[in-house]
Amino acid sequence: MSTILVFAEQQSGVFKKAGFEVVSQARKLAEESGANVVAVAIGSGIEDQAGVLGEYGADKILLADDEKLENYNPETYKNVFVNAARDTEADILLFSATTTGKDLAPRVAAAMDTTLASDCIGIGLSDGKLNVNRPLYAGKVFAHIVIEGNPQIASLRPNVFEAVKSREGQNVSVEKMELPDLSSKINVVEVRRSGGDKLDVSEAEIIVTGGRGVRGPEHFDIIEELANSLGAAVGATRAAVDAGWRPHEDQVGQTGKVVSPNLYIMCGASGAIQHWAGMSGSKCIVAINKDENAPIMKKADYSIIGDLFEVVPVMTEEIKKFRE
Amino acid sequence: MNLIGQIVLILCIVGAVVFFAKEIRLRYRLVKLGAKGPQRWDRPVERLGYAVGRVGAQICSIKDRPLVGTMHAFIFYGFVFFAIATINHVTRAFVPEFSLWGHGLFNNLWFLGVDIIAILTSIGAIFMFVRRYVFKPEPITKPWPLSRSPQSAIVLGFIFGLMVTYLLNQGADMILTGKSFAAWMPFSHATSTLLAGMSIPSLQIWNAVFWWAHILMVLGFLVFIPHSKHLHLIAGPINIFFRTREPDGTLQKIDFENTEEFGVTNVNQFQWKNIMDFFSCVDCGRCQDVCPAYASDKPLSPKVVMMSMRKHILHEADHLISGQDVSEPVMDKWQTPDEIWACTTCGACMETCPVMNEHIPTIIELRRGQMMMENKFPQELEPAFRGLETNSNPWNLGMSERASWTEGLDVPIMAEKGEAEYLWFVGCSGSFDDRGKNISHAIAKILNAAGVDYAILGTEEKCCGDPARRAGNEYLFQMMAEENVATFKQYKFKKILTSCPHGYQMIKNEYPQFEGEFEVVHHTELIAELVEQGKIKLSQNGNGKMTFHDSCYLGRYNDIYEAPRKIMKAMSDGNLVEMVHSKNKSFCCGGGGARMFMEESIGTRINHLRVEEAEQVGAETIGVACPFCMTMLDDGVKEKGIEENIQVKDIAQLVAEQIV
Repeated sequence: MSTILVFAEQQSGVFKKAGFEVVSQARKLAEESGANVVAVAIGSGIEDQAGVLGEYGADKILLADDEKLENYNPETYKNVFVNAARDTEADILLFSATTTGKDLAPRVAAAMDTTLASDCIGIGLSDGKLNVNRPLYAGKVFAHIVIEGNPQIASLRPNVFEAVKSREGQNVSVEKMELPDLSSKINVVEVRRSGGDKLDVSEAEIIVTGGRGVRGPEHFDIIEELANSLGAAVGATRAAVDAGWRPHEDQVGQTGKVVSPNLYIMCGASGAIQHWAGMSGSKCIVAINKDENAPIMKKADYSIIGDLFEVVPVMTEEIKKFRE
Repeated sequence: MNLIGQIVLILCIVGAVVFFAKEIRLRYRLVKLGAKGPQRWDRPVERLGYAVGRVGAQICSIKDRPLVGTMHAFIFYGFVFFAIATINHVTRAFVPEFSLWGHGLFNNLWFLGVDIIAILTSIGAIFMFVRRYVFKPEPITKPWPLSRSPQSAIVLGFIFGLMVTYLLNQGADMILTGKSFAAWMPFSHATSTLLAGMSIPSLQIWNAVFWWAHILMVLGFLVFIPHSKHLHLIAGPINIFFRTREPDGTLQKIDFENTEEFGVTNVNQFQWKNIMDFFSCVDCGRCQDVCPAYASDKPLSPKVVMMSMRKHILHEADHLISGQDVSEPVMDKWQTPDEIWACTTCGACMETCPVMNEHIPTIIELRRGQMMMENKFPQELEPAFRGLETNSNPWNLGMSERASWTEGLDVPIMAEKGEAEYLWFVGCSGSFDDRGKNISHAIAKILNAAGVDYAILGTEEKCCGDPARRAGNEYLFQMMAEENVATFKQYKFKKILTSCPHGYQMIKNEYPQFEGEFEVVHHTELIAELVEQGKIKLSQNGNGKMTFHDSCYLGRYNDIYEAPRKIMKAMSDGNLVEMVHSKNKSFCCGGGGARMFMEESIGTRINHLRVEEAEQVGAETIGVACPFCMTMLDDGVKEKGIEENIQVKDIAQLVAEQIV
């Protein structure tokens, strides 16, 4: 029976949603082909949590748990994963195209002298071969690719595939791997995160952005409340950052961060091109603005004409109610 | 004079001349060692005439600072007269009573002239001294400590001393020879009355002292010149002779096929003319005074760029002359990233420079070196470059959407029409930016109303490449330029119409480097023509008090000042005012030189300064003729929260609203 090996990414001991998405997708492929889904969990102190991968559809979990594996290290992670791939004789290897996945997948492909299709947004099997769909030229065209080589490797774009607990409550075996030599030329001394525990706009699925219309740093609390109710990150336009209301790391736009969340809510921002260039890839755009002639009002999927100081608190309240 | 005196004099002269020649030769060799560039020997007679006229009439120093310039002119003419007078002065050590002009009326007139010039020059020297050391104007005394140097005090002391010793020597001479030239030499005569009480022997000694002091100061000055900014006496006029005959700020093409190193990372990569500029700089600070980056508290001063590069190249002189590698790169000791990336390429520095230095090409060469050799540049530029590479626009919006702004309008596309009088190059802002699209809509309305035969390229159009070129990403720029030229050549048209001054400059003045010679008009030129021909008629002012903001690339780069004003006048009902900086002295919006795509996080904001100038004259409407200016000034107005009082509109929009 063939095996699909999945890299289940974790950060700071917590498995990422992107990893669950890949395991879920592997399960789907396995349902068609009858393959075995094996998840590889690499990290430190993650044994207790690893079981959850089974709920997303892994038949077996290979655990590499060691203090030295606490932080991502391209060399040791690659060695561990390649060992797992060789031991299981897996014929399909799947990653998530996160920052880590984009780094690790090509290394594994090179080490195993095989082929990789990265950042795929569609995946399927025909005659035992992976068929993937990946965007080129900033999404202008799509390439349908049949992967040759053994094993076949693909990385999947985050937030495209659903993470589904198809086997809720199921217990699967967690097997500790035999670890290779974990000494490395690379030594992670310290991990510094800017903005503390704050959700980074470039990774968030939902972003609530405030613009010049927010009228001052003190009014950003209503934006933050809305963001909290949605589990969203708070973004800002260049005008708000320039005015010193928000830190530069929150800036979305041409000269800030380029984002493509599932939901982008703009409060009091006109949608000038420099901002649009940074968020036009969002799947759903909601604009709240007094000025119905603001350029964003035509471009947004949903436009709410109204004073953000009235609209946003009502939205927050309704979302809280809904969530309860 | 006795034999010993004559020998001492000859030794002094030979020593000073040898020293002077050695130092000049060093600088000449440093210029010659510079990388090859255009040789600029074309039209030598015209060049010579221009240099002589500009220097001789002192237009160079008077044009932007009339009072200081006039004082400078006194000193300048003092130098000219005294260069000749010194020949007389020295020859008399060997041939008493020698005069270049004999002893007739002309000689008398000559001495009258020298006498007057001596006084005017003294006044000039005192004026300059007081100005520099009492009033301490910022352009010449800042930034600290680079601009603090005793050079000027020494030189002014020399000049003043030369005049005083001359007059005293002449005065003493009058008494000793008993010849009265009182009528012809009134000021020397005045000194003779001061000296009249002295005994003849002591007067003879004093006369010799004045004579020697004068000649030694002349020689001392000669020795001092090459080491100081006073090298501009020699280098300045030569630099004006070799001035660029292209529009200011036009950049040179890099031949990628035959070049290994791009731009400047080491000082030995500068072209000869760049180095000539460094040695010509007078440290006068006029460039600094008009620089928008400096005015908004950025670390850039064009003056400092020149001074610092001059210091750097002299510091490396031994290495350069002996053909060794330079000991250190230009960045970050002699120039910092914050300096070179602050430039908006507005050209105000080049416009005002009395010795016609070319600051922008030097700064862009440094950017090119950082961009293409070192891969160091402001990270905000990266998305813009990626956008140009993948979608031919700096915002990376889908290239298939380039013509979407025409939806619902009757705008012909070249690919369907094949031929038109005007090929309208809409540009990225006009195609993608909402504020730019509004301008495009207005232009389309005007062209249709006037029945102009035109067509746009639509999705075949690509960015003109200006932001890439100004940021030093020459390779990316050349891709854009070559592709655009190839597209243009597929169609039949008479002229290219641009709605952005940056596109205008690129296509008109920089695309010829890629075998694309086209006649280009800016939309304000065409609209002015249509108004004049009566093809469009305008109603009167509905926009209150109006002012026009000159775009650097339209005005200073291409001398288009009148067309936009004609249009605004035609609909302003006499309510058109000029801001404190206008026409060739206009103040940049802050968006040029790829600054549009960078953060402005240091100092104050250039667009705010400009908006404040519009506020000062009570303007209710700022007319612009450039989409970058539109974005910068409109943002400035909104950031200052005065959008209720001032509106920013492109001239095309104003016209489109007032067509009757």
